[in-house]
Amino acid sequence: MSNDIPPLKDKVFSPSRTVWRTQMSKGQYTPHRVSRITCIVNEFLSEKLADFLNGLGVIVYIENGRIARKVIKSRQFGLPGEITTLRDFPVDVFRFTVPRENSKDVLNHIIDIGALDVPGRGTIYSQDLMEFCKEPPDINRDFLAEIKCNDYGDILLHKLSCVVCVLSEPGSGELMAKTALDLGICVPLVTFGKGNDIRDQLGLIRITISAEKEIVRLVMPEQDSESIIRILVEQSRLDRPGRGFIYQTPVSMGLLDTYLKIGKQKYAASIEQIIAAIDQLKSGTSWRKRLDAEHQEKRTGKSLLPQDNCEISIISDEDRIEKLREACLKVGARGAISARVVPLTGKGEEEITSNMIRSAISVPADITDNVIDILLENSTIKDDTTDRIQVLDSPAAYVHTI
Amino acid sequence: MKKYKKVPVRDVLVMLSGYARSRIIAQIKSVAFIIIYLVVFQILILRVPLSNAFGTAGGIALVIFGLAFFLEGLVLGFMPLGERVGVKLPARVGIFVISIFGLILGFGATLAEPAISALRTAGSTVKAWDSPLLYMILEHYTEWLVLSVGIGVGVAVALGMFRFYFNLSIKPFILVIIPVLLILSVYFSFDTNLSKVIGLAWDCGAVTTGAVTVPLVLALGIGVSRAASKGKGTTSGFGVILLASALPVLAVMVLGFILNFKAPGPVDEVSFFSPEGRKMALALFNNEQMIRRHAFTNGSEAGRRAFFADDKEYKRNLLSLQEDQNSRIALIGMMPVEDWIINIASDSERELLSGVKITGKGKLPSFGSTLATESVAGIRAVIPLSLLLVIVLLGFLREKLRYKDEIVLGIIFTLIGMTLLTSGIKLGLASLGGEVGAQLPRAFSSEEEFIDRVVINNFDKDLLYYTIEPDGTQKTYFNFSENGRIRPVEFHEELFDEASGKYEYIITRPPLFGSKLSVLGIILVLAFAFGMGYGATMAEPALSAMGMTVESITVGTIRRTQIVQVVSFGVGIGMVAGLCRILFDLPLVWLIVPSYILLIALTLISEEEFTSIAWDSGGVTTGPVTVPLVLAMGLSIGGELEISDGFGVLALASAFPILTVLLFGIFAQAKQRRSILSTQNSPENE
Repeated sequence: MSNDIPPLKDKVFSPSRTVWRTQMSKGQYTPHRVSRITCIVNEFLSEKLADFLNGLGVIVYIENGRIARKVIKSRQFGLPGEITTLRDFPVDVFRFTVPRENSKDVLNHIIDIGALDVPGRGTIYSQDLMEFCKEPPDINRDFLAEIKCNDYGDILLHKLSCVVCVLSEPGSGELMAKTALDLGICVPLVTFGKGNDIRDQLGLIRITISAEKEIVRLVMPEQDSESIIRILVEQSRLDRPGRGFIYQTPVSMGLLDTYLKIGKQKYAASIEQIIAAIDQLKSGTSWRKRLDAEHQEKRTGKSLLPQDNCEISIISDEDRIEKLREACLKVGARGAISARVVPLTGKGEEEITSNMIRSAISVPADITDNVIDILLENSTIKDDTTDRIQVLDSPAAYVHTI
Repeated sequence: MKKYKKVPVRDVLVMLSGYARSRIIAQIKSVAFIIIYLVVFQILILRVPLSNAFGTAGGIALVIFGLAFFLEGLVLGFMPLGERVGVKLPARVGIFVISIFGLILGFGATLAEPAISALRTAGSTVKAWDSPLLYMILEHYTEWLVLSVGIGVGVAVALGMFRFYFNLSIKPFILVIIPVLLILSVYFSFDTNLSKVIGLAWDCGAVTTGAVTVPLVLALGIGVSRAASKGKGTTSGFGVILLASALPVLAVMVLGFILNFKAPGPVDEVSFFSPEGRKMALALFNNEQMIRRHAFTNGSEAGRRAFFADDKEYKRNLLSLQEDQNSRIALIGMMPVEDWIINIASDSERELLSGVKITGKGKLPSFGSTLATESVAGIRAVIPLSLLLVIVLLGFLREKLRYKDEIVLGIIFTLIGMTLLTSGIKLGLASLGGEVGAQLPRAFSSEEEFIDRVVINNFDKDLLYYTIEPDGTQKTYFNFSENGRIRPVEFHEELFDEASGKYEYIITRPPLFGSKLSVLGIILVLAFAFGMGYGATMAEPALSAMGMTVESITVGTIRRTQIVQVVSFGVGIGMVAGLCRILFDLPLVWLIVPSYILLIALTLISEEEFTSIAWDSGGVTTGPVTVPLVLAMGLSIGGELEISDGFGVLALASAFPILTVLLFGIFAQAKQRRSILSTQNSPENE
């Protein structure tokens, strides 16, 4: 990594870039500019993918989750009409970081291995972010070059965004997933997490509040995200206290699973297939812009969006995470959601505990610098190879403040 | 000390009420089925009014509150504690220490949860002359039985930890242990004495894993496998319960095998009780008084007559039953004499004891005393285990507890819940289940059931009249008037005592479906057994806890309700199979061996993940709700058919859930695969 500070060329304000500049000038910790690749595949494909990533020599963090698809069936006993239900599929979520210049190549390889270009096989996307960790990110380039693969550049979509919804009410993940499917956004990913922040402020009465949260991740075209967030906020009643919050992070490129519906096919091609085809023809999703922003604003008041935020993910051991979370609380960063991840190290040279947690927190831009400072101060990323702190811009967020 | 935000009292109340309501509603849903089922069965099908409806309702309320407290306590206290210990152990100590810890935990858990008492209830009808070995194990070597079960569970937990530590597959364990058990069972079935122990051994396996042990061991296993597994070990944590159900079977079988060298062989009743056979009988009983008591409580009239040298002595002893309390206790123990007359005495003995007034219902257990005894049992089950965990965590691993207050509250909740639950079951659910169970034999019984006896003084034969049936047979009747209602009663000459002018009117209830072992009756009984197994299992707290764990580990792809339904369905089928064994007196081996062979076959084609969940669900099913209900039913039906023991039902009730869960898993996986493959048009297939 070069040490020269790039000139200010950003038109849009970016908290992660500010963090980068601050830390570079301090010089104690080096932020790395990397791409984080998230790959959501069915359990059947996991092993194959894990083998490939092992060879690639990256540390992968696997989280368990489920995706939902719509199933349309005729009624039983020959009754007229159809029933639409949701069906869950267990998936593994692979997350790892690669140098930015390699991200497209790695994406191509994974799409090839998992045949992800076929709808229903999985979702993959890459996000550009700043990462703090012990060693600079690297991959086994020879290994990558050895394997031949097609170039899927023409079907990769750009200008996407990933909307993360953190829901506190048990069972509301199901509702959100249904909404997403009804809107035809994408196949929603649901994972479980824990958020203890409100509980920790209370005495024993905290037992009445569940720490369990359901997290729904939706990947959609960037230009749609604002209006879709509004709909989701309204549908899930996130404008009421204690229901949860929502934020959006940018995705540089990705390939989405468009297999939203299972069951009776009425036409020669499903609407999802048609959309995917047009996306490919137009090489982008901008043609899809459809929601009437003006109308939407009337429904939820516009003061909510956009809000400049920053998603900070910490990956560390359970006990260390607790310490980091408390440190975050001190500087006013609340709402951390933790989920268990299983690390998968490439070379297997080191025995690592699998008691790892990935904790994500959405913080307002103005305190991002402070949070990162205190996190780095308390963290052990200089000693532990598996620990990571990632900073990602989040141009829109909706958090209900009490 | 951290400072907490002050919450206004009103908000606290609102939060608490919402919290409590959701928990209680969930439990009402889980017990609704079994209660409605029992009440409907009793009122609409058996046509017997509910006795003591008020007490039963109170008991059911206790059960609901107990379940709510118990489950919440597990979630708040026990499971986080167990998981924490599990996560921390591999980091600090080696596998040897972990295994020792598992051994102590498993052994302690068995001693703490006295499930053995349930087995003794099941064995209360065992006849010493018929199954001497079984009687010997249950009555004389109870401590040995408990110890061997404890060792079995201890080794199982240790082995389970070993498995998690090295991330081994569960299948080899199943494929080794289960065939060994099956071969032993078949071998045992050829020995007259040992064959009686098979049922006990398999039931021991089913019963030992109690409501506290299961969630604790699950949480511990999840912790250990999380901390120890390297790479991709996602759905571990299950599989210990299976070992903890299988190894005690082995341990009890070994115990039976050893004790068999000391036990006399079975003989017929008369020669057992006769003075000539006294030597053999004394090998099983401490003294002659105990033999006499056994003749009275478990034997028949022939056995009792054989015990006494002459008829006079027999009559004198029999008549002493109605005299003072001491001689009664010497003869029949704590059993009320009315119960003895109704359930055990032969007709001629009933006649001899005609002086005893039958007051109707036996005394109901009082509310206070039940609560007191059950809370002692609850403390025994909960406190030592939680202390062990806390000591290991704080003293040995030197770890801090994050939410201390929450954990303490959780343990208190568990304790309250356990006490309320078990007392509620004793006061409400078991009495309801027992009542229905007791009526059930009528469905297939060929004899009229003796209910009560009224002695009519100054019986005037002039009141008799004759009736004629279509074929010409004549019968004598008289009109009996009671509380202003008149009903015709058949007159039996032998019940009339000419000298004293007394007529003994015996009130009976006719069999439900005529006088044969009717198909309809059997179907009714089996349907009842299915519903009861299904309903009771739905309310089982350990299953709920396991369902929650499965749901959170699979991120909701397998729902708690799905697991509970599938397992309950399996238990229902298991109950039907168990009842078939009792009804048709099938050897247990015939049922156990084929079903387990089927299970092994299914295991081979199942996914690892579902295999361990399925085999574990076999162990969790038989808990504090199911066992008393099953025993009540098994015993009453077994008693009617004069089967020597009520063992085996529980064993089958825990074999079939494994089957249903495995099938569910295979089906679900196939469905997943199909919808994945349907999308795939590339030539390569997974």
